Formats: sequence, C-alpha cells, structure tokens
Amino acid sequence: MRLVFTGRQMGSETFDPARCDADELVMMVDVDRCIACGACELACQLEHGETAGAPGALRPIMVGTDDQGPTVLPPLACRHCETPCEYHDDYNFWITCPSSRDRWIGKAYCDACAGRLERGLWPACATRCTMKTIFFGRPSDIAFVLNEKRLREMGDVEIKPFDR
Amino acid sequence: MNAVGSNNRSTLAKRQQSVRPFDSVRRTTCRNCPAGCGVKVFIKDGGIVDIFGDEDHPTNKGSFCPKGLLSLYHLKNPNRLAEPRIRESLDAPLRPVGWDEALEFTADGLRRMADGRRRESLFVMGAETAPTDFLLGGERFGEALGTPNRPSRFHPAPFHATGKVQEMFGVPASQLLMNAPRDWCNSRCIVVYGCDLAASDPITFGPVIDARDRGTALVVIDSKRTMTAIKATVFLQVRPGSRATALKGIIHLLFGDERVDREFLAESTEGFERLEKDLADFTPEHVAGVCRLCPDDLIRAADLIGRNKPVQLIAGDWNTRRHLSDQDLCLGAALVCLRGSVGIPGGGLNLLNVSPFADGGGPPPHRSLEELLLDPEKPVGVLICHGNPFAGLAGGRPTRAAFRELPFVVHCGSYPDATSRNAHVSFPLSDWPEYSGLVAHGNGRAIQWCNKVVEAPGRCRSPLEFWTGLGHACGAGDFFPWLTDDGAVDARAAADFFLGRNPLTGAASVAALDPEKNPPGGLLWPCVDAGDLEFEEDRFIRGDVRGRNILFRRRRTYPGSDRRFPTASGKVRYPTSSGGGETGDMGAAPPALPLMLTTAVPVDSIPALGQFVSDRTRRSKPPPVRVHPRLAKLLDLRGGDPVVVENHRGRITGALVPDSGLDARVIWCPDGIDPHQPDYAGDGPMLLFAAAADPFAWVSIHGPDQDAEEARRRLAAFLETAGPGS
Repeated sequence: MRLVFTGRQMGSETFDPARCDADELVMMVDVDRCIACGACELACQLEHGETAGAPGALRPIMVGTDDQGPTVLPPLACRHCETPCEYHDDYNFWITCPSSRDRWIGKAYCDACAGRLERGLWPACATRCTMKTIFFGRPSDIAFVLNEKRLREMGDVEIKPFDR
Repeated sequence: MNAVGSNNRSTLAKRQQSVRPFDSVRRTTCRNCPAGCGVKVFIKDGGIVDIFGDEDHPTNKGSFCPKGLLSLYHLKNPNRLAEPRIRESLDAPLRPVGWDEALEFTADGLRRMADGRRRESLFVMGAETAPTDFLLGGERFGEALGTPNRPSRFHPAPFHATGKVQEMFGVPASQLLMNAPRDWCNSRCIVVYGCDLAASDPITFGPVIDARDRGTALVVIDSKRTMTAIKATVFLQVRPGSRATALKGIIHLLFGDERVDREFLAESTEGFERLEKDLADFTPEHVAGVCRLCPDDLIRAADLIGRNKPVQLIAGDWNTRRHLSDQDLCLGAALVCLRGSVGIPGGGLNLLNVSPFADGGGPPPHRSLEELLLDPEKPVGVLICHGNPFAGLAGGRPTRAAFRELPFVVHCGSYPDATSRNAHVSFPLSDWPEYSGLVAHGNGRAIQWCNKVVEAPGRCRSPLEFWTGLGHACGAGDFFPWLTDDGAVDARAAADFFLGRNPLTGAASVAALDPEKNPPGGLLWPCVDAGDLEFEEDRFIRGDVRGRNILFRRRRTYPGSDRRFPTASGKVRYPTSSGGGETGDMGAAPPALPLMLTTAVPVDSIPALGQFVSDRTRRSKPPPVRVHPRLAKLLDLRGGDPVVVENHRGRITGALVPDSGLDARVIWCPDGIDPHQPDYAGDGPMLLFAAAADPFAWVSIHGPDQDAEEARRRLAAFLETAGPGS
C-alpha cells in the first residue's frame, strides 16, 4: 500500500499515477483538512477489537505544518519498529513492512483492514475520519481526487492589503 | 508479508458499514455534543457491536468524531453508575437503594426544605449541553414546585431574553443561528470568534473547512494557536480577554474604508452611527497595543472581511460561550450587519448551541453558581444538578467549601465524580442510545429525535423517567401527564407535549422527526406552519434539512411576527449601551501572578461526561500544562517535568508540555478534569479562576522543588522584556 500526503504546506511532488501499478492501493491524506482529532486511531482500535488505550493499534505520525503550533495526526499504517523501510525518504513512498513480527498487543502491522477490503470497503481509519481527510483507492482514483482539490483551491487567491 | 498490493477487488467503496456479525442496524442521533450527528448502530443480541456515522444524515454525512466513537467504550465502561445511592450526611458513604426509595428520600429532602424555607431555595441546574430531556424535565419540575431557579437561569446571561441581542434583533441569542450550516459554503469570508471548533465541535467545523477548500477566507480570533487557528487565512492571536477590542478595530477599519453596506443600514437598522463615533479611537495601533497583535495582521483581517461578501461570524460553542459578553455578541452582530450579510445566503451571525427551549421565559439568569454559594444569605437549600458542576467551580476553596455545606444535593449523571462525592443522592441516568427523546440544542438550528437502540445497564433510567418519578413522589404528578396505563413514561407523548406548547416548534411532532421514518436531520426551527416541514428549494438555497435555512430574509416575516425583524421598530437597533466594560478586562497583572492561565476542552472531552470516556491510558496521570518553550527554559523545566500552577485561590499540579502556539505570557491546561476520574489525578484549572465566565486567571508557575519566589522573580523580569507577539 502506498501512502500519500497532500496539502498546501507539504511541498510534496505531484502524485504521478504512472509511477504505480494500476492495481495498487493508495491511501491519501489531505493534511489541510486534518485536525489531529485522533478518530483514525480510535477507529483502528475499535475495528481490531482493542480496548481504548491500547498503545498504538495504529500509530499516527506527527506532521508539523510549520515550525510553530500543533501538528496534525494523519494515520500511518506503520508500527514504528526499528527495521528500516523506505518510509522516511519521501512523502510518496511504499509501505513495505518487512516485519510481520508481533510487536504490539495482538496486532502485527497494518493490512489496510483486510477484512473490510475483502468486502469492498475502505479501511476503518479512512471510513471514520471526522473531516473526510483520508481517501483510499487505486492510483487513478487518487489522481482524480487530487485534481479536484487543486481545482477547488484555484479559487483561493490571496488578497494583499493596501499600503497604509 | 501481507499481499495488500495484490488485492483483486475492482471497486472499493467508502461505506459506513460494519464487517462484524449483526442482527440489525438502527438509525439514531448522537447526543454527545451539540453537533447532533446521525448515527448507525449495529446491534447483535441486544448489544451494540459497532457504530458508524450515518451517510444520509446532512450534518455529518457519514463522518464521526472521537466523542462518538468513544461512546462504544463509554457505554460498556465498568465505572458507570448503575443504581441510585443515598446517604443522610456527607460523612457516610453513599449506599445503593432502589429507585422508589431514592425518589422518596429526595422528596423528603425537598419537603424538609420547604418546611423551613421558601420555595425559591430549590435550585435545578443543568448545563446547556445537558440532555434536552433533562433540561425540559427540570424546567417543568421547577414550575411544578414553584421555584424560578430552573436550568435556564444558569445559562449565560447574554444569551437570555434579557440580553442585548434580544434588544437588537427581537430574538434572544440562545436562538440566533441565522444561517444553517447547509448554507455556510456560500460564505466568502467566515470569522470564527473565540471558538476552537476543531476540538469542541469537529463535525460542525466540517462545512467551514469545506468552504475554505473552495477559497473562502477564514479569519480566526483566539488567544491560542489551536487546530482551528492553523486552518485560518488570517489568525489574530489576541491577548486573553481582548477579543472584543480586536472586533472593534476591525469595525473601525470597515467604517474608515467605507466597506459598509449603507443601503442595508438605512433600510433596516438604527443606531449604527453611534457605533461609528464610539469606535473612532480604535485605530490599528491602539488595538494592536491592547491585543498584543501586529497592526498589519489586523489590517489584513479587516481587508479580508471588507473585500469579501457575504461574511458570517461563528461564536458561542458549548465550551466558550460562557466567556462571551453582551459586547462580544453585539459587536459580532454589528460586523455582519455592516457587511450587509443578514438574511442572505452565506451570511449571518451564527451562534452555536442554540435551542428553542433554552429560554425559560422567566427572570434573568443568575450570575453564577459561585455567587450563589458565597451569598451570606445562603439561598440554596436544595440543589438538583447534572454535568458535574463541582469540578468546574471557580473561586477556589471557599466556593467548594460552601458547596459541601449545602443542605441537600442531588446528583444526576453517568459516573461517580466530584459532585457525587458531595451529594446526598445520586441517580444513574441512561445515556444517549439507551432512551428515546428530543435532541434540541444544536449547531444546526435543528430539532431531532433520538431513538433508543439498546437497554441501559443496571438500573439506569432516562432523564424524563427521573423527573416524572420525582414529580410524582412530590405530589405534583399533574405536571407530568405522560404515563402509560402501566406506569411507564411515554417519551413520545412527553416530547409532543413540549413541542406543542413552544411557539417555535408548534408545527413539529415526534412523528415528523423520527429518523427511521423521515429524512434524517430533523426539522429546522422556528417551524410554525406546514410550510416549515418542507425542504426549502429556491434560487438561493436547496435545503438538506426540512425547514427554513436562512432567517431574516428580505420580504419575509419572522415566524410569529408581522415584520422582518421582530423588534418594536421593525429594524435592527444597536443598543445604547452594549454591556459596559469588556469581559476579561481584568486590569494589570497582580505583582506576584504574572501569567495568564487559559483553558478549553480537548477533542475527546464530552460535555457532561468529561474525560471519563477517554480511557486512553490506564494509569492516572497529571493533567498537561502547556507552556511556551521559552518560558519552560527560563524556569529550567523540560517537557514531562511536574509543575505547580498557583494563585491565592489554590494550586494545581500538572506535567509540562512545551507548546509554541501560546504567547509566552499565557499557559493552558485542559478543562473538564476531575480528580475522581480515572485519567487525571488532580484538580482542574477552574479552581484558580475567579469566575467561570472569566477568560483567564492570573497565576504563577514553578517546579515543585523550586523556590516559588525565585521563579516569580525570573518570570517578572522576563515578562518585562517580552513584547507583543513574542
């Protein structure tokens, strides 16, 4: 599964669907909309039967939008173990979890809610996100949504004040 | 390795659907906060196995917030109260009894008070976010027993019929959400005034973020760089207590740049010329000095507001509305009027947490519970309360001591808490999916129906069952005429009774509200005739909830009135005096207390339940005290270190969390903390406040092993050199 972040301050490259397999699954997180509410974390705990408070059924990563102020908490299908992976190189990256060891209570690693995928449903975190921040689908779906977002944003023109 | 990448399903849908085995899906309405979201509950063998948002519900459209999700754990939380408990004095422990005995015990307590004192010594109290049925039943009970001291008298005074907004518009602020959220996407500029919607009402923040995605300018005025603030186009980080001054500065600039709708002012208002004169001195430089802003930021904000129309202003969420004064509300209304944004799509003064039942129509509100407790006349004989008022008491030890001396306290709630610790009777109430009833307070000006979908644990009963039982035990059964033949409370009959007698909801009925039989979302009120039960559809709006989306439209009359604005003159009148000095004008810092302690609720805090339901950690932990990193460094403290925050009213202990989103002179600690909750082991910050309505408290801070005097000296020296925006 590929994880993509998008947002005005992310500075991520344009997501290029041609770089991915058509069948690949992609989770896109719109950091502009994320309010760090933690619903994704709770959704994961709920879905996998953990009681609330189990450490890190899903570990959201902290993404700072600038050097001040609170960070947002988009979900990350990662267990933050020590085994190196390509995660930290780029905002567009594979989640190739080389480890299937049981490091946390009961759960190995994120499988994008395989039980839900089998029934044609999105993973729990994406389904339950409060601000409709997480989008999930094939690369072509993601590209479509990203394009829509950019079109909407073209209405956002910064107004500069008159000199005083 | 799981072969996620090779999944062969061709379509993947975002459906609010469970994959666990279930027998049925029920649609109901969440009551945890004023957003009022639609919920799909998946039931198996009478128990909830899963919970999702309702895709068809216009408020949340399938989304669900942490508070809603936490409901699942909350409902099964073993700490929940399951049976009534009583005791003769606070020295003895509460002992469990049956409902009849507890109701009789309470009725006896009431009779004892009535013997020696006047009827007015009965005080019924509930926050505006208490379940609608609790407030309705409480008002009714107060009426039955002849006391004016009912829940509406504890709600913030500016929102009452005696507040200045009523004078301006002919409608009290507790009912003034002019434009429903469906319409908010039409705004070109949204001003969020003193609210952290992302933390307190995240689903209500949805339409704001949607609008922003489409290019709407967002101006946020607050004293902490909250999650709402970082979404802003312009964020005015003002000194705590100086928000109204920032508004005055913006309005001054609007007048100065002639960005006011003179036509609207001439046609529909009076008294605004006085406002222009009154604000002549509020230049950007002056305002920047008072608010600790950069003048340029103020000018940018005024520019956005002045260049974009329509403009709306959002204020008054359940957590921050107690800090709003008449002046705040009148200035916010003035801003929207000046920009000609009243009665048009995308405009409006949109005050949150409105309710058609908020105003009991009785005498003006008390100033506060604290004032009543400290009154030497000791007016409070019996206190029946909901929502853990003890934990939120301001005024330090004296008010808490006075509470403990109250002759008779009745606690209603779901968990043991600081209030039940000081109560003589405790009644366990059912929670939202466990009883059917009205949901009236909200951020969408909608009245909804919540269906019971599961049985409550133990011997919990619904708020209406509590009040009806107590009313009958006190011999006032006539006031509660909604019992079935076998003595059960008919919730639908009761709801129809309350809807029918309120002129704002005259056309509504439970039959028209039930989300399993009607389009979800309820009805927008005021709904006074059959036309208000339809979806509005014209060139301005296509409503997704039945009813009127935009109030005060031109060439329409306000429901129940023969004019557009139901005032004496038919116009919006700017009040001659809008409430005097600014709330929060608390003068200069006292010598030994240089810092401002502010507070708000975190995102998983549910109004009546506090932090109980979070349970995200298993151990008690000290509450976080957020402090600017420069301040922490000054005191040689690091993240995680214990800290003491104190003033002459008391002290609280917490763990330091560095937060550069604060001004260096401001610290923050979350509200809704109770030392009897499993998550936090300590008193909440309200202990240090003089009054609950104050935007901040003057305090000092130091590590527990540090010399307090030395810490104060360092702080004083540092703050002398700190300039605006540091």
